Amino acid sequence: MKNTIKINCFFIVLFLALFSQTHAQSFIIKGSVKNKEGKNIAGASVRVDSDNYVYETDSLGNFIVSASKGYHSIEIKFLSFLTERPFIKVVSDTTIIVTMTEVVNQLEQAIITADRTTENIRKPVLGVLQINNKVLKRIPVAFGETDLLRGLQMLPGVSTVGEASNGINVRGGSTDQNLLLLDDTPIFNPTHMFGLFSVFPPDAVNRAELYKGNVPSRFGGRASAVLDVAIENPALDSLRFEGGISLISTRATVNTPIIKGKMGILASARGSFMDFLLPIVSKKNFEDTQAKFGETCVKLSYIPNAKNTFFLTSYYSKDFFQTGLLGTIGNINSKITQNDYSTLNFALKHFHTFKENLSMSTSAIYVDYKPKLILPEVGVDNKVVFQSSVGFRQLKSNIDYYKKGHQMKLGFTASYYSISPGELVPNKSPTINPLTLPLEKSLETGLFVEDNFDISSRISVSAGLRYSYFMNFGPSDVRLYKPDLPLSDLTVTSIKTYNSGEIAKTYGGFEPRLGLRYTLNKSSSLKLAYNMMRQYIQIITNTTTPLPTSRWKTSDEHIKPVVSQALSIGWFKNFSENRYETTLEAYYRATDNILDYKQGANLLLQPYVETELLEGINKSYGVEFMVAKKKGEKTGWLSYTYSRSLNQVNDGPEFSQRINDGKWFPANYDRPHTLNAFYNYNFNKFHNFSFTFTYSTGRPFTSPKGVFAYQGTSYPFFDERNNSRIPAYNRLDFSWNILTTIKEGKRWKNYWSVSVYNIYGKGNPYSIFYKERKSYTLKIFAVPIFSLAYNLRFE
Amino acid sequence: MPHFTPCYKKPYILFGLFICCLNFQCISDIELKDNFEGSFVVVDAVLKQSPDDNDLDSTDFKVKLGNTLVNAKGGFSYQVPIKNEKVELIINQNTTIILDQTSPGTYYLKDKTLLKKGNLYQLRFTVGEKKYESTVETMPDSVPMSKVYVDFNPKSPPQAHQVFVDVNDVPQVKNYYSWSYRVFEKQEYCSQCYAQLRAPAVCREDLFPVFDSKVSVSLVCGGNCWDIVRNKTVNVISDQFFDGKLLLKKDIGYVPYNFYTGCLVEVQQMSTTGGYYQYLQLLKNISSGSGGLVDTPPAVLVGNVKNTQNSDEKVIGYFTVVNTTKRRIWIDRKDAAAQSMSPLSFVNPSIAPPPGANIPLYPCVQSDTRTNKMPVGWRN
Repeated sequence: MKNTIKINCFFIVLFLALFSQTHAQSFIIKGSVKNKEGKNIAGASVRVDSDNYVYETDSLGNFIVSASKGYHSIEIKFLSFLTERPFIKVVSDTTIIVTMTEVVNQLEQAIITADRTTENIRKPVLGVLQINNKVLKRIPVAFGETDLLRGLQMLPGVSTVGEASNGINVRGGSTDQNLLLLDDTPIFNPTHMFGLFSVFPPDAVNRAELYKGNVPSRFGGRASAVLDVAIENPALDSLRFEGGISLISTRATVNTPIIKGKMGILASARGSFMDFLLPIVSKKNFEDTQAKFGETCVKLSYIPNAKNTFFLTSYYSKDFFQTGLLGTIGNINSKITQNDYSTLNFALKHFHTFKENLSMSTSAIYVDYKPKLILPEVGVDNKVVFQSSVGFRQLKSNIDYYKKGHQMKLGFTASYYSISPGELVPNKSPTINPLTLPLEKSLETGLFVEDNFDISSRISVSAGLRYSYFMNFGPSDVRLYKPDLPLSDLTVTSIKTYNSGEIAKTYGGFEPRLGLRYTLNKSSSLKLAYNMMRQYIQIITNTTTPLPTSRWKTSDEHIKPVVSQALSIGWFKNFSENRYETTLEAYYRATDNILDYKQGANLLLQPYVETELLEGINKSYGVEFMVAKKKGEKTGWLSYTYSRSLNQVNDGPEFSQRINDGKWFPANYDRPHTLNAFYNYNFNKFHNFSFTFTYSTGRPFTSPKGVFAYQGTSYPFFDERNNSRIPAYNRLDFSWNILTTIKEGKRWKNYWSVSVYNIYGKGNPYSIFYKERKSYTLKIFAVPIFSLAYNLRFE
Repeated sequence: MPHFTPCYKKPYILFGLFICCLNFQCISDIELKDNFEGSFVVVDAVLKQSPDDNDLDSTDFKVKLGNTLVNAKGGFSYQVPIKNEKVELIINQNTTIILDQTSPGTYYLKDKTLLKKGNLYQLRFTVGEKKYESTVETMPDSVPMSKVYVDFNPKSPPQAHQVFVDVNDVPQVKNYYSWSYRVFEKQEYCSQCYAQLRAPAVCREDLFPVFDSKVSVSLVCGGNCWDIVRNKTVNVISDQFFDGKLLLKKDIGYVPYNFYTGCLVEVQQMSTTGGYYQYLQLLKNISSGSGGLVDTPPAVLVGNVKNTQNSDEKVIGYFTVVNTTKRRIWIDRKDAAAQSMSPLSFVNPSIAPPPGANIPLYPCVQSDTRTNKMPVGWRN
């Protein structure tokens, strides 16, 4: 029943063979790309002499390319900037500085935001989506809050279980199979307010890249996709300010030099404290409701000299949500539930340049995620608290080396997890026993190497190999169970005790990554990608979408790592002088060791959680088509995705060890047909209109097969999991941006954003559930939602 | 697929649109369309023991077997009794007792003294050629309720007395508790004649010469009569968080404020096995809804009985043995009356018979929801 995981020697051999390619001698051109304020531009595309291969500037805005002796044209492009084409003479290793000019009118920027002309054709990577802040701000969203995760859902291959979803599903993977990085720090809870808003600071995010097909080997630890979100680098030359207020939040971002040319700081904050208005709206419904959230982000950069650069990023996110509608837990006498969760991340990065073609990047990462469920007891001044935490510490380093057409990266990562799976703190309550589950400690290490190069004028390669090794440490008491029987208290044979620091279990293996591009002609190419990824940490939850308080669990004796293999193929074609871009991609992904849950699983403070779990496999496949218009006053895209995600859980012969008799069944987020459209119209310098439309097949749910009587009460009887689907989802949104001051030379700019989410008030069901002989639909955002935001910018 | 009816849309205004997703939940009834053709064996068997014999009645020693049949064309589900089968109770894995069928599909344990704490019990039965058996269940020890009390809550919809229990949990033992309750309300009127329908049969025209208006007429009970209202929700808890401590003010249900007069509440506490606790949790999840933002997907309600020849057959329901205790509490409802609250009233007794009507008395018909026997603890 297992998907066979084979580490195909072919990839290793191919990888080594590719490294041994040799090229003729050439000189190095080292470049630095900045804007007019002297701020480094990371991620700009660099091309030499209209060559097929497109390079990218690193996070410091630097690039290194090679060229033979003579004259060369260097083309540099970046979103929202005019393309630069310096023409240089190369007689030896050369250094150049390129200053790019930003398009002045903010509304005009949106016209070219997605324009990375022909890059889609040339890069040997497949299944990479890029979205920047300016595109995000054009996409109409609920309540006018710019939202990265909702923006990504408009792109092919990205879906969710519904409106309130705590994460995204990428190409059939579960939400915890995505590595979400904010300036290299992992995010364990990506949304505020149970999925209504994403936690990425809207004004501080510079760009986001979603790797859903070809994942570079420097990334590891998740089985499905990587979302790499970069915070804007601090300004080193001039002050910038951006802020705004909407119905939901107030936000402000300051970006300013501290020591001109050497040190800068970016500070961004957003807070939502408007819940005091709720009782005014409806005292009856909102009497006990409080809803507050916010996040802050500070990034400091320091460049002591030409060879060294330091970045320090900190991020703090906090949510507080109180409601009287969720009920209490166990015997705790409480009528109110308070969800209180926070994330604190730090990243310290150091870049060092040894010589022109050799540099090193080293990062130290610190992450603490602390969710709490607080239950105030009725009639007494006491709060009972359920709390857990995820501690993550990481050290990683990589060397970037350029030689003879090869752009190589070699490095390591070491990630230490310290997870507190759960603690019950009764405080002053005399009727509750304190309970603490032991800390789970583990170390995940990885070695990786990757190389990008051309084999010929038509064939380009992105090859990588990662080796990951995982160790689960004591102290722990590990139960051993009778073979072939369900894991339960009744089948325990012995308990093995591990002392502190003792290795209790190890896993590991190779993770080959390969991307190939074959150029058909100047405007089209074919690409192929293969990925293997291993995941040693998962969310343990049996709700439709993970809750902020859901338990994170690293692999151990009984919970094996998730192993995923994905093969994808794509055709890329541009039309009308690259005005239109089309992509057609197909993929197949097989995943082993996914987790599912026994009936009635009790996961709360469960010391031996393996007794509540089942292991299964997943297969996902699909076809994604997208056509985008990226130039002109009218821009946008249309995408269609056919995708399936099916699970099979057949963990043993007993009924309790199988789901749906061990047959394939659709995953909760299996939505075969999805159609997304985004249309942006820049009417003039002052007005910009955007529409989005989305349609998708309803997600699966479990419907009853009948009703039976037990102990005097009728209950619906359910037989097969996910045997029905809720009706299809569709929604049309609109936004209108109005620039109110637009004078050349004026540094203050402001604009209004008006948006209507769900224009025709479609009552899309989120779920259907049953009580006795009746069924009910649950709808979220079943009415048009009008919102207004005011934005201010100083630069 | 279920049939959907339009969802009620609330006219939220600007600021009200923000924040609480729960406010945007819109729940609308849809009719359940059974979509399956076939049948499942249903086992409804909870045998009860109590330290006080007065706390038990005949319903506590019954095993009900049925077939849930689902008619795909008709779109409905119904349950038929499994009659005339051999049903056995195996005690301590060495003594076999055959249960008597007292009514179609209902099998009865005559000797209730056979149920003792610590003993092992297993159910075996046949359905035609098929043989079924349950897992072995151990009769738990009983734990007394230390206190049963009520608080009147005028806000809870409907206005009602909330019923609470206190229990001193036994330390170092895994205890699982479940509660049910019955409310006895004395009835003055046992039925009604409806203006248009003239039902029930006693509502003959010759008895109601002036009965042509649109009003209804209540029929006085022919003797003492009490309505019995049972809880419909599953109330279950384990001592995971309070082992050895006082379970304080456990809310087990409410008694609607129906009349000015008092009523009797009989609370039954069951000490159950761990397996049955888990099954009750499944029932609780299903009966309280499994589609909200934080709910788990519904589970297959297969219990601890299986076909010995075909383990893949799904058998619904659960066989278990529980140890029970009962407490009764009288609610005089003076606290509610003191707050000038009007009762909700099940049957409207205020309609006077029309002049000249020869109103017959209506008998108190014994059923699960009505009795003419004065309940233990009743106060006149």
